[in-house]
Amino acid sequence: MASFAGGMAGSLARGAAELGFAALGLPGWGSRVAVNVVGAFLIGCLFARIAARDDAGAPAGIPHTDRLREHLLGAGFLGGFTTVSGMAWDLVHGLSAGDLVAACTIVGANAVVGIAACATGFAAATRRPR
Amino acid sequence: MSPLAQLAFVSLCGGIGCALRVIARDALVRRGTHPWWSTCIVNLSGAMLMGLVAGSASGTSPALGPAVTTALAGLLAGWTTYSAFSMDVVQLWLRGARGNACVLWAATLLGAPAAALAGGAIARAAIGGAP
Repeated sequence: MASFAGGMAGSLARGAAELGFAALGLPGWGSRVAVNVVGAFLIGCLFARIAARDDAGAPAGIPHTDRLREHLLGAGFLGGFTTVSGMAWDLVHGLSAGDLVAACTIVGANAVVGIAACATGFAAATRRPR
Repeated sequence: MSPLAQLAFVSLCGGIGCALRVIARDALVRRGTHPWWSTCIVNLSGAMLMGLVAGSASGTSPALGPAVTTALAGLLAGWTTYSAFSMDVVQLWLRGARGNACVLWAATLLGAPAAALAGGAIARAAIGGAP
């Protein structure tokens, strides 16, 4: 139920971002690139706050007491906010249409920038006291 | 359908997709699959289905109407997750399982477009549309 509620809110936010991009005359794939990078940063922050840590300080799973928060915000909201299926189809569509700018931006943002954003969010939130 | 009604529709379908993803991922983990591979399986299956849906909705004789396409695309966007994928890669890297992190990264980022392409090709072969 928490993941359903969070997923509805995340999907609503993603849909609103798509409408916002369309209103500005920006392409739909741009909104999905943006939500993936922002969502990756936010899940890094979330995990830094709620994940248990091993001896080296690496995340080692979610404690049972924080399962509801993870289902609502992580698997739910951020899972609904971000999308792999949309990214994959945007890339296929961009390549088939010969739009190399779109294809390169989608690949670069999802392969490098999003992962870096997640690591940055995790590192930034780790430095702040819980 | 007005933009606001479409937004509400996408939100509802996305919530259903999210709930189904959590159920499927937990079921895979209970069967012994690592959580990060469970997320990868979910993402690849969602990408392939998105290719099928988008391929079925395009071309000169679309097999799916706009409302069905919107519902399925919303469901599949909720079913798949980039945030969990990115966190899985970072977690594996930080735990020192860097080989697994690279395999997961490559499997998802190469596999998802390939799966979507395959889904689109299947739909095109079935109805004669264009991707």
